[in-house]
Amino acid sequence: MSSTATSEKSVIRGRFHITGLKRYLLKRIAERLVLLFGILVFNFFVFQVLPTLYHINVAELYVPLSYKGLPRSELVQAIDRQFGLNLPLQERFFVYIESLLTFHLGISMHYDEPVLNLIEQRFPVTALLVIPSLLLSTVLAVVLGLYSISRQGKIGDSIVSFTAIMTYFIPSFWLGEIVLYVFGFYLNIFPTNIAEAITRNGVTLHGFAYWASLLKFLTLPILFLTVVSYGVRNILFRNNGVELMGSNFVNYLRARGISDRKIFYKHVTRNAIIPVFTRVGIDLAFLFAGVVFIEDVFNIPGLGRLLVSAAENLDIPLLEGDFYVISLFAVVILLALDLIYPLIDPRVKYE
Amino acid sequence: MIFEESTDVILKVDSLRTYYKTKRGSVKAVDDVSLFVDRAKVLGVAGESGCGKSTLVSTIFRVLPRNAQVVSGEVKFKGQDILSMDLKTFRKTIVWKDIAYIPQASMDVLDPVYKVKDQMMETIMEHEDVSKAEAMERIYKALESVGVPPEKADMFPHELSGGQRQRVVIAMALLLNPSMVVSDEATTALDVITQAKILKMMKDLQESRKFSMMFVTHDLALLANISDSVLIMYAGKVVEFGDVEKIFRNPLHPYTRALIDAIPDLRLRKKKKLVSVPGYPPDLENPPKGCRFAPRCPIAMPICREKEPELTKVEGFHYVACHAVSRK
Amino acid sequence: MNKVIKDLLSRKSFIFSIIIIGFFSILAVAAPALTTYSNPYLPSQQYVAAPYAVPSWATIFPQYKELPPDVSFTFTKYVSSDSSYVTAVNASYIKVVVPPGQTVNVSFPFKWNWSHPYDVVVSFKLLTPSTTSFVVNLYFNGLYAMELCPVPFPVEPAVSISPGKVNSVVFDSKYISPANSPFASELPLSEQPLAAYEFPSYALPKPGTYNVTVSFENTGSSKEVFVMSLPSYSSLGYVYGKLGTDDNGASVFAEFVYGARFDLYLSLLASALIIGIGLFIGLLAGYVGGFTDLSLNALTDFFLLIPGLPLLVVLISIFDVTGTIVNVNKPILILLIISLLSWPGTAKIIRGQTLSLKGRTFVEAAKALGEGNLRILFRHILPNLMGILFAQLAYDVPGVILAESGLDFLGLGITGFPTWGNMLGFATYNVSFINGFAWWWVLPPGIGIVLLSTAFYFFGSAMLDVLSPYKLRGE
Repeated sequence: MSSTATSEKSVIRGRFHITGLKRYLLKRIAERLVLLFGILVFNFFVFQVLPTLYHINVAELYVPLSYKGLPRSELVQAIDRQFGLNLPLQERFFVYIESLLTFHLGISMHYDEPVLNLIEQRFPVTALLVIPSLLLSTVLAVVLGLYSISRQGKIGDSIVSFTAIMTYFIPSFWLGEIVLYVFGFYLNIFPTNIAEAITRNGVTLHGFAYWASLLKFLTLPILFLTVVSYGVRNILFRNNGVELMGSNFVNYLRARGISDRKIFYKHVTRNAIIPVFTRVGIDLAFLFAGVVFIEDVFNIPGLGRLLVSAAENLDIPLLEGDFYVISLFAVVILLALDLIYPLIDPRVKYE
Repeated sequence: MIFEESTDVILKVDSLRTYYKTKRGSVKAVDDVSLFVDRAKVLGVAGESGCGKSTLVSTIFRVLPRNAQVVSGEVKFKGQDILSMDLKTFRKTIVWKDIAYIPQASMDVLDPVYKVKDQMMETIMEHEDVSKAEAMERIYKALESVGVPPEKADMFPHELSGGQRQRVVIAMALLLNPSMVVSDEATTALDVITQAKILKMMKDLQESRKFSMMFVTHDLALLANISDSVLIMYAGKVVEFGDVEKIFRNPLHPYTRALIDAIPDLRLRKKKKLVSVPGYPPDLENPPKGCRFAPRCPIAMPICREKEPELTKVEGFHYVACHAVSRK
Repeated sequence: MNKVIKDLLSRKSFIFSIIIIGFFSILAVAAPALTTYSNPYLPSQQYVAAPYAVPSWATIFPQYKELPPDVSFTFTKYVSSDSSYVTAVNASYIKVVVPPGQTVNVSFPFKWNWSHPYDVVVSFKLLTPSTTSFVVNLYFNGLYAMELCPVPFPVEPAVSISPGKVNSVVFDSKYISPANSPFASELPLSEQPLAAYEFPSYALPKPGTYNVTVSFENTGSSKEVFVMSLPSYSSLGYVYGKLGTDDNGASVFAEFVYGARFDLYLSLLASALIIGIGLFIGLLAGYVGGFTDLSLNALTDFFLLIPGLPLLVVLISIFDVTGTIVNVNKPILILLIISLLSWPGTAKIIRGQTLSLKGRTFVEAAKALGEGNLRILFRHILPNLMGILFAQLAYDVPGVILAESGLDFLGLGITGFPTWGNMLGFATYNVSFINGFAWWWVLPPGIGIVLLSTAFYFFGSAMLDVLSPYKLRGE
């Protein structure tokens, strides 16, 4: 390729940069929306088509067997009318999509509360659990990764990397229970019951005190989640860094007399962090689905546990709503990632 | 000794041995290599890939991988022994200010996440205490001297073409006005036309700025026009070293002859068969006894498999390590 | 190929993985030979020792040193208050003649080397005289354990015994109550419900010599003759086998071994299935390209995006409720669902590799030579994917094990027989302040999962390194 041709091309590319960005954005949004739609169709199939095919009135599933209140048959009829569950499937689909788009997610009979309320209550709890541990584990992954890279092939690196791989395969529910026993019961360092943690003398705390106590209760699960989730990022960072340390540009930097510190922190770290960033983004997108076990073990009333309990009770409105919100969240985060990614890695263009 | 041929030496490599440690033993990548480069002169170094050229360059710049080790020998630059020098001082005061390096500008020779100008700026700032504006000025000048438009400085390495990248890397070497430049396969990956352009540019720069150059390549043909003296390496050893005229007119080592025969010569329009050297370079972990070229040599004699030939003077500035030659 | 094996064997991580995988494979294959309990979740295979019995090797720790193992033996020695009334019939039977109005005691001494056992069972056969004027009492040292009366409905806590017949007398401390044991009825009211648990600690509190005494009391006016077998003694200990017992006294080792068997079996099958689907989709998308690629890619993204574990939970619940698949058993259902939700990662990687292979010179050359698509796929592309396929197979195994264990842990997976997930679930449920921490039960399945997963991971990485096409061609 001759150099003049390329330079012309880049000038053109520069001038139409905005259009490129717009097109890139539109394409990405369209792709992600199609994906979201696909997920909704799939959910509709699982929650509505499948039971109908087996001649099960979906409304029956809306009312848990344990529900005590109005007579069951009356309730089922009311739900049929309200959600149009006795309509033919094709009409029902539009009702379903409309209700999701307008966030009319219905009422969970199991909890006897609107689904949206439930999700709104649980969201901050899970966020308070996941976001600090996301940050902590990323920092841990990078710090340990830097250690590994600087001692590549030595015993320290082997131990750190091996531990990271092991943590990745630890069943979180198992180690969680052990950690809870050791720190919560045996050593009695952390509160183990959320109800006790957020009340004092039988009165529920409010404001700052509430959040502070909640955070204290969450400290153990946050630390635990950090430990079981840093492994992948650590290995990604480490392997990438090790590869980069032997790469041409690092060699060239050394030949140029650039100090080792600068090469290590400014160049290798900056490059090796790219896949870690991607990974963190994906983890963030799927965070609500990812902490099910931890919430279960540590008894945290978060979104993950809500989802599992909904699944166990076949609480269909809650399931539909929860799945929708989780998928929506994932799609939004992934889209944001697509936008930020070129800033992190200049090789990726808005194209 | 070869050093008697030197008139105004700037770089002197004396009996250098650099070995790689592996699980099974050591690879003798550079084994007893001596050479010199004179001021404002060009030394061409040629040899097949894996003959130790790059290890030689890495040793000079002290950027050997962890498993490599200088076993013996010394490298003197402007009279200073740069191998035994404190590494920090070496990097701060000698590298780039006095002796710069031009690698092959492969895709990943520059850090992909920083702009060209930032990487050049970093290189200047590491060695000299100048203002940013002044540094920028120098960057633009350097880019101009290699024929790269100044707006390219604002680009990321992957946005440049291969030729541009090579030019940028050359500009990088000239940033601090070094008195010597080592080029390692600087034109290898380029197409023939770009290669010729860049080669000419390098020669022009060398002549106008009067820096010394060590030009390392696997392509002996390139050396005819650019260098003053030529050194041929085979399997970690120097097999022939001498004045460029002498080497090309009168190649003495069978390996050099084979390399020169392998150059297609269109100008002569001779009906010349395209020849390649049969066989493969030896395993450097376990080099053959005697002359390392013996297993591939068309004129090998029994002694070649017994005794290692020494680099001996033929006449004038022309040295060769071959039993067949020294016997004549 | 030889070079490949040499290369593999020079890697420490590969050696580690082979040793671990080999170890668990041997456990899995040899399971029937290693343990007699094929399904420790069946009641018939429980109570092989006390619940929460520690492994036998754990007695090297001081806190477990005194704990008794399972003990069972038949007495051989006896001592009587008046030896002229007691004579041996043969090696295992003795005859006891009791004069009217008198009591003859026969004691069976034994040595006990540990702290108290979980239970105490003493049993013997007894031929009684055909009158009703006698009482037979069983004492455990000084403890009045049992009273046998030859009437159909004796006064509690006496127990009925048939006169003139061979009776099988069994004293089992697990079942004592104020209704059948004087020991229990003599306890303070508040302790009576706990009699079954307290008896062993009263009877055999610490190492020493103890005796079981059978006392024959003739309340009639003529002499009575009894014939009894030498009694046998058995008790469940707090020390059992290689890995102790769970809360039901079932062998944890048996659970672990059969769990390994199932987990390996399931995960290899599921991984093969995942590879199958992933290979099909990935090859198709990568090789055909165009719209096929676009839609298959969208499908892959879709499966990547749906929250896997909750969906797994939902699907299994839905299938349970609707009875969609009635005739398929649970393991197969789980296998299918896990596979169907796990292939996208594999498919993506295979697609990427296929794309890059497709652009390589040797494939272009084959095309130019007019080779058919199928031939190119099987001759040129597939062989170059081998490294990746092996690696993916190995990488998928841990994923399947973890997913299956997660389901079991939540109680949605397999329930009828032990898997590592079930063990984890049950064991961790029982980790509490009251029960303490049954480490021999809690730790093995988790450590098993971590070790086996790590081993498969290293195995896969080594395979990828060694078998990847670039390495093979020495590039």
